[in-house]
Amino acid sequence: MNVEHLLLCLVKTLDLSAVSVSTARWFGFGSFFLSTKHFSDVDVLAVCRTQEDGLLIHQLCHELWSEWPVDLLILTEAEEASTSFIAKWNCVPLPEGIPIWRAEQNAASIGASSIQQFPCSARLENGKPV
Amino acid sequence: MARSSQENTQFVCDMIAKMSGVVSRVESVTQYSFLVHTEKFPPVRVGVLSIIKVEESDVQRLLNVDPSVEFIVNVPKAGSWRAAAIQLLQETGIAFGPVKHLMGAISGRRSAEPLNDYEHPETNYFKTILSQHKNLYRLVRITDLIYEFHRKNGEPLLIAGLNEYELAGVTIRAAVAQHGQVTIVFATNPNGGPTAEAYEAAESMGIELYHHRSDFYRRLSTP
Repeated sequence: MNVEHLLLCLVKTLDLSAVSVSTARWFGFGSFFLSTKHFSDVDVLAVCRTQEDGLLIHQLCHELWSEWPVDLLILTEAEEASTSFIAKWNCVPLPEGIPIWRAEQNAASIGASSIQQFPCSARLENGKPV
Repeated sequence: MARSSQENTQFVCDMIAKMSGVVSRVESVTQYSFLVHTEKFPPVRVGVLSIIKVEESDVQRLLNVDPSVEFIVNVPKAGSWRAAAIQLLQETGIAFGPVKHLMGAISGRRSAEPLNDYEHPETNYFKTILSQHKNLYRLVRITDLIYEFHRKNGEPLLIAGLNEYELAGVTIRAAVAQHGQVTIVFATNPNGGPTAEAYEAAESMGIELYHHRSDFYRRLSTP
């Protein structure tokens, strides 16, 4: 399994529709989303209405993302408003999950050209799209 | 479907290989380990785990396959290291942490010395703060996040150090859910701080939350 396939798996695994907290807003920040260099982890921000929603998100994501170096920060709307986190960290909105363009960018940076052939929804088996 | 140990190792290999300017190439050694060849210094031997709660048996399993690793990396950022696992790592002289810490260790290397003694600056900072307190009798690491601070003049305290830039209420609740109840949370990031909801969450769980070192130090002296 090479890195572009793993990134596609990551895109699939980070399908935020699996996290059934409809009031949450999702953002990406940090090196994975903002830089073209290497990244050490994937920084994801969830902004939700209450701490209870936040704990539910944490529980769901803890299971879903247990194999990935994902650093999940959960803020309530009030906390985001008081810290201006989204603006301060140039957060990228993630309306439908981790954008495929980031996976393409990463694949391109290691010289992989085949990733364009595989749509975001591609199923993978043994590291290969099916 | 869970990734195999071989796939986990390859995953970390691929991430490390992208550290251009520092890493010249990576070389797979076993299903759990690989070598990082750098531009300036001798290769680094890295072991790979991908486990939410790393136990002693997980570390031992890796060491049975490759006892020569200098650093063991755990893929999930939310993963925790349990006390017995940490003890085994300390006894065998092996550094450990998430991928981010491994990258910091490789890119921050200033000599040909192996990485066995590497400790991430955040971890080192918190440990140093605790170790230098005059009321410390003995320090026991419970998980990678929590220390048991045995005092000369009072009951032991369970202390967690959280380095988040914005320390949120949910972060404290999640840390307790994952690592266990604590007496004190110390917000170690001097550039950020706890939110109002973090203080509320801590109070509702019977946890004392400190941000300023002077207040935290005073509490450690208070029986």
